Amino acid sequence: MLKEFRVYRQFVRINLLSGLEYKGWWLMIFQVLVATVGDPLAVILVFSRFGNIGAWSMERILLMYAMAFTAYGLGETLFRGFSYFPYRMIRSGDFDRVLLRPKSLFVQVSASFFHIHRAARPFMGLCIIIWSLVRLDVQFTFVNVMVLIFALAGGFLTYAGVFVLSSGVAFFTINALDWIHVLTSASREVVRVPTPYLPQALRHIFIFVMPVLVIIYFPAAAIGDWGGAYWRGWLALPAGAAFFAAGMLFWRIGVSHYKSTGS
Amino acid sequence: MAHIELQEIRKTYKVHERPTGKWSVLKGAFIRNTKIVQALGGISFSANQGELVGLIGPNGAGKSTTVKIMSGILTPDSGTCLIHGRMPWKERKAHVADIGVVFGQRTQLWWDVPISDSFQLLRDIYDIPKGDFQVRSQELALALDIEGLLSTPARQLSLGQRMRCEIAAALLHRPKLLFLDEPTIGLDAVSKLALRAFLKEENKQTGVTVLLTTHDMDDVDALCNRVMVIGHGQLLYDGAFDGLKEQYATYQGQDIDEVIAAMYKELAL
Repeated sequence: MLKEFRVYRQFVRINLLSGLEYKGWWLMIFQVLVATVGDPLAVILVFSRFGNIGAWSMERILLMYAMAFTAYGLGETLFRGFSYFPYRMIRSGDFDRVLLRPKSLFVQVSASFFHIHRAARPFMGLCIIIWSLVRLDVQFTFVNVMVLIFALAGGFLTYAGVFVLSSGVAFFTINALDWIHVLTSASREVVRVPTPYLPQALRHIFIFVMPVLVIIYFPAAAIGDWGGAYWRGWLALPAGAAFFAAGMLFWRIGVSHYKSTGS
Repeated sequence: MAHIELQEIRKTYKVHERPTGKWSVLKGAFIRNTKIVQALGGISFSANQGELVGLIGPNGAGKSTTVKIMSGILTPDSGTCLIHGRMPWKERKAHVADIGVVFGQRTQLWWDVPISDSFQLLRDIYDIPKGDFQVRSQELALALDIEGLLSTPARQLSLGQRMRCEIAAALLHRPKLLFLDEPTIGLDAVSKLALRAFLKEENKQTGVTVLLTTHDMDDVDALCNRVMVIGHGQLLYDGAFDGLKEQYATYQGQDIDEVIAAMYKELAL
């Protein structure tokens, strides 16, 4: 386990060094920062023009949005290899090389790409979360902080699970992975809408299939006291873990399919 | 004791074909005709530690499939394969720690960083003790004449230089078995000769078993004490290279490629 972690670290190191080999690497960081600042701008503009939607203030939406943002960013930063896997590794046949190395496939693939500028997104997200919490007068009690940390951990696992899942499916269909955007982009858009106003069907999809509302809305509602039982806030981590486990299952099936059919 | 033992290894692939005729493109988007193609139809052989074996055969004969099965990338449909007493596809990690694989057409070096950084990463991947790593990387750098290249990124090396680094990378962890898939493809004469000399010496010094696939018969002639011909998923010849020449040469001093071409023709490959 310790050795696997060491290999992950070394992979990350070599990816960082690779990035620095090219001029203008600092431009990339700047670029992502600009993009991340621009992202929540739409929410801010709409709210400043039209005011609150019932009890839903801009801060509430920004809090949810930033939580999703941070969770996605963490998953993307630490599991970049999986988000690239379908497009880069299978097609090029590089996965054969991964199989030829005496280390866990999971560790090797997740660390096969690492871009430091991706970390700009979770960093930005955390800043917005804290700002919104302060504006919403949320008490930073131990329990509330724990719920928030568990929510982010659950969110990280969920988005990591999305990447792992898509990689597993990619063993069967190398193209046709656009549906993955339903789980990534669409799930981030969903939390930009006040949850009670969502059609029930959509709400159920994003609770029971892709649990983005469980990992974002429930914890946010719990610590912000927006109604509903507080205990629902604790569901984020188990839901994230379950989704991740499902992703891993698909990954395992995909690997054994690859080994029996070749590419 | 034989350390490579293959028995009745069979492997088929599913190939998808587009239907023919009018509207075929449209039809192909919904209906796929699957055809089962046999890659290996029951291959058996064994080899001892320290042998230098050449695997030849026309394109698509099943050479790569054989190597992929022996290196644990593919699972065969049936048959057994024991290498160092292990089934490659069952005990992947333990198996691959003992082998080295070089694909002539692909690289295992990290493209953008100096060769020495790639070696460092391989040290962690194979858990090579620090002291041994020092000794081994120096010894390989000297033998392959790559000391001056270690601080250059892989993408800036010529093909010949890169191939020497690839071979060193594959041998850092002192594997007992080395697979080389077309190692001399695209190399100039000097690099080819140097590579052959190195492999021969390495085999003598460390007793590493070398199994190489190639289309360059001079590789086989210069290196291998045993040659296997694979065609249509079958093992068609297994023995000394000279025996092969005797069997298929029509006259003395015939060009080696002509002999091989005559053999492929006779075996209807």
